[in-house]
Amino acid sequence: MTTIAPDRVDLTEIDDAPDIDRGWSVVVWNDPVNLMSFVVYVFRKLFGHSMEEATRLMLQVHNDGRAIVSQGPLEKAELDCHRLHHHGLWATLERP
Amino acid sequence: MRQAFTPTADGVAVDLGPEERHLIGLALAVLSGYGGDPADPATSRLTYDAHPGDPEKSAAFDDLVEGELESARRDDRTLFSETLDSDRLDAEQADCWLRVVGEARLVLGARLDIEEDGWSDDQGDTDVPEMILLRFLSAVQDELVVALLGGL
Repeated sequence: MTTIAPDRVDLTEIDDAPDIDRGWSVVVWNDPVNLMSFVVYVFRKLFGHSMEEATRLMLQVHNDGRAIVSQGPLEKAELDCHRLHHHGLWATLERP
Repeated sequence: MRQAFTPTADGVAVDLGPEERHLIGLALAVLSGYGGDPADPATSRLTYDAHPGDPEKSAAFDDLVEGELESARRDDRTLFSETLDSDRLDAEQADCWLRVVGEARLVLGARLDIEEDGWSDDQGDTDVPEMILLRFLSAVQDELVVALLGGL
């Protein structure tokens, strides 16, 4: 027995999680030489953070050893990472 | 003590004597001695791996920014050198000073083997030339940052 019309196919079963960009995190790591004031300035300048938010992130880097300072698609995250490197901050990228 | 940097509408006014400017300019001497030699501890500090543990993505990142970091650093040093005697710095020139002084501090810190926070509270090493210069450049960078933060 056959039929012309194909059986209904459940697309959600075969179309396994399309490769959407779920976003990347830019992580800044603590280093003992960069000044706290300079790190606050860089966060304000590059990301437009308020003084309070930039200071909170700087203290998180200082106390916890690292902080996520921006998130977004890979292209934007890589640009942010590059700009941080240009300012001498130790930055890496990771999936949240 | 007089203020070396005072906020202006688009940057800072600079009040530094020739000796101070000469010392700040030593940042360039520090950086000119850094050439990416793998044996130099400064090399690992100034060479970044954006995707640690993922060589493929790291290589792609390096391709993306290939040469960009080095050329941006070169441009910074040129602008820094050109403005070392200026009495006023606009925002871009002041940022450039921060980056050059900061980079020289990182090189000095790596060569002094500074690996832990708290070194700046230590009163030892005060007769080591690199440490004296590092502390001086710290004060310069901090004063300039404070002046610029006031203008943000």
